[in-house]
Amino acid sequence: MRAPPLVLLCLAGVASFQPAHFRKHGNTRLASTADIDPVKYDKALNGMTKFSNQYIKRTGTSYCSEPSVPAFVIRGLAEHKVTLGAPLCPCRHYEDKAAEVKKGYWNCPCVPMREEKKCHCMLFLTDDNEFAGDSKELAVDDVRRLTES
Amino acid sequence: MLASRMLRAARPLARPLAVRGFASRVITVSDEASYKKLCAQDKLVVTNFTATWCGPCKAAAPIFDKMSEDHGDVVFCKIDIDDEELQEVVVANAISAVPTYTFVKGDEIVADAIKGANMPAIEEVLGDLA
Repeated sequence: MRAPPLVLLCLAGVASFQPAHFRKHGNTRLASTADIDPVKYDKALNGMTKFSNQYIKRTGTSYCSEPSVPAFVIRGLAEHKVTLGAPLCPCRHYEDKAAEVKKGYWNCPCVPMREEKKCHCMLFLTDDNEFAGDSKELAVDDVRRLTES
Repeated sequence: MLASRMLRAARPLARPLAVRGFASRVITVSDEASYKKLCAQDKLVVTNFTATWCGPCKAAAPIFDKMSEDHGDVVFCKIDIDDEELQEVVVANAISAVPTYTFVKGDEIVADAIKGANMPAIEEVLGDLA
């Protein structure tokens, strides 16, 4: 079950076998972190990892048994923290991200998580979720390693 | 409701980690015109609306890849919801959460969209339509 590099291998496989005429733009978002101030990004990544570790313990939830799942989400939250000023949920589509940040509903921890312990991103999993692993702690270096493209 | 969807998705998510050595047929859509061409075909087109930093999307991607290998008569594609070139497609499909999977054939919606990494539900639709 615990085979994080394989997920990344599979993802790399997707890119390798794309027909050439669809490959032009690729997944441009993968490189987007490079456009962010690295100092601010590192600070945000540290902050979001610490926040997640604390919140998971406070709520009695656990990380997914596949650690790359929470790692990707934490990275997305950190990116939003830097670019939007708040950790907007990275697993949703917003027509206006800035407006959503102001509303606060989908800022992590989102209202469904706070009120019903429902995390669509699978960052915080309750014990009855089949994905839930034993881990309640992720190191920021692991987040970096697991999300490297 | 959301929890049950995620739970149903849970079982198959472990499987892709053991999947190795296959060639994915999933097309990465880069612009609206390409997507329109895909959807106009007289073939079932399954679209995975995904996002770069969505954990469940990443976990489900290898299963989706494997499905593309198992169903050679179906077109599988994926759309990054943050891609600026594809915002009209994302809005037109009323995508609110990712992953979301849609089913189109000959420009017609042929099955309800599936929200969440509910891979068994996708297999079920493929069984009915493919």
